[in-house]
Amino acid sequence: MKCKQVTEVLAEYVDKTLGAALAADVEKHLGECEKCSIELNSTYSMLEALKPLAGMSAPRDCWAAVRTHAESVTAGRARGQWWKPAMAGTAAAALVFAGFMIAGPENQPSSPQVTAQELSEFIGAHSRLEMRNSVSDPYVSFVAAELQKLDESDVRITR
Amino acid sequence: MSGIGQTIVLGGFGLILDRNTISGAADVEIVERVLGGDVNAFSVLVHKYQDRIYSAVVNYVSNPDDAMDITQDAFLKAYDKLAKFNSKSAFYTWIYRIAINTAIDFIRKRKIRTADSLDDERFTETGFEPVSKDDSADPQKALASAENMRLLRTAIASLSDKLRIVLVLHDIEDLGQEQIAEILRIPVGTVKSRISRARMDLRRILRQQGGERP
Repeated sequence: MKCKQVTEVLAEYVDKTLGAALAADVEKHLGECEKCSIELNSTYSMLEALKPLAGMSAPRDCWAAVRTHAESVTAGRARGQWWKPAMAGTAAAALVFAGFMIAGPENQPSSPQVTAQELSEFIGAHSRLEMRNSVSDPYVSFVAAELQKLDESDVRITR
Repeated sequence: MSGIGQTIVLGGFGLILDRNTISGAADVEIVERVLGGDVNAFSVLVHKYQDRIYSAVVNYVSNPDDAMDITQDAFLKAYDKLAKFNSKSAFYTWIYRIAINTAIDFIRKRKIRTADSLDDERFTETGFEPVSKDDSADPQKALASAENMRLLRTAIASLSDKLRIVLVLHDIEDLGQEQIAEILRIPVGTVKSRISRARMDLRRILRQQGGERP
């Protein structure tokens, strides 16, 4: 074994992760080579010198700041929950309403795609969500108003 | 957190933990409790790992204030990302990874000159500088030891980021090669070669500082 080969595996030899046969070759070389022996000893000394750097203690406890953040995030998430079902319902109603407007009076005046009963059901669902979450959904009023307008017009709504 | 192996009561939070709870496997259970809405359960993980994380980070960034901020940031991020934690992996490798990435981002953004930070007085304050107890009775020896530590930190800070982190995790914090590979998401073979290279570079830097140290 040559010095260069020993240098390449020296770290593994020090960490005792080198295979037995290779470790024996390294030891044989170290017995004959002063330069590599010095390298080995200086590595051991250096690793010993690094030991006191381990296990430093944090100068302050992180928990107070983490708890404040965690509680804020949790409260925010709780506050933010109300709009999720409302938004899902709103999106559905808006889609239905858009479909009604597109396929409604102008395009197919004799056969609207959405029945008034379906619209009423969506509005009812939204109203329940509003009450449950103590919020006001402007789309409910909007859709209801549009429905009222259509009802009062000459457009035939399937009932 | 101390007291492993006994019943531990975390005052104010109503958490009572036995020795089985304070284990690697128990981390997953704590994570599940936090995800279930028990915010205070997260304190167990913070108290269990904050010193280890801080120690690795301070040896990596060589600045106590920055290390503390990074450690705290890591736990804030961990809380925010907790739902993404894969329970098949160990929590400590996950939090180490977050902390190391936070430290890397921090260094990039602030462009820390780590070697400059080593002049920070707190590195030589009692309680921060790990001066040998044997030297405490002899002021000259204590001073020499503190000076050796300063030079050692300067030498570590001179290593490249990639070599420094493996040296810190392996040769200072005593993490295994497989653990480091998981934390850094690099092959074990790469970890081995970086450890070898880091030691060679550190020895070279120490020689250049004026004689082989210690």
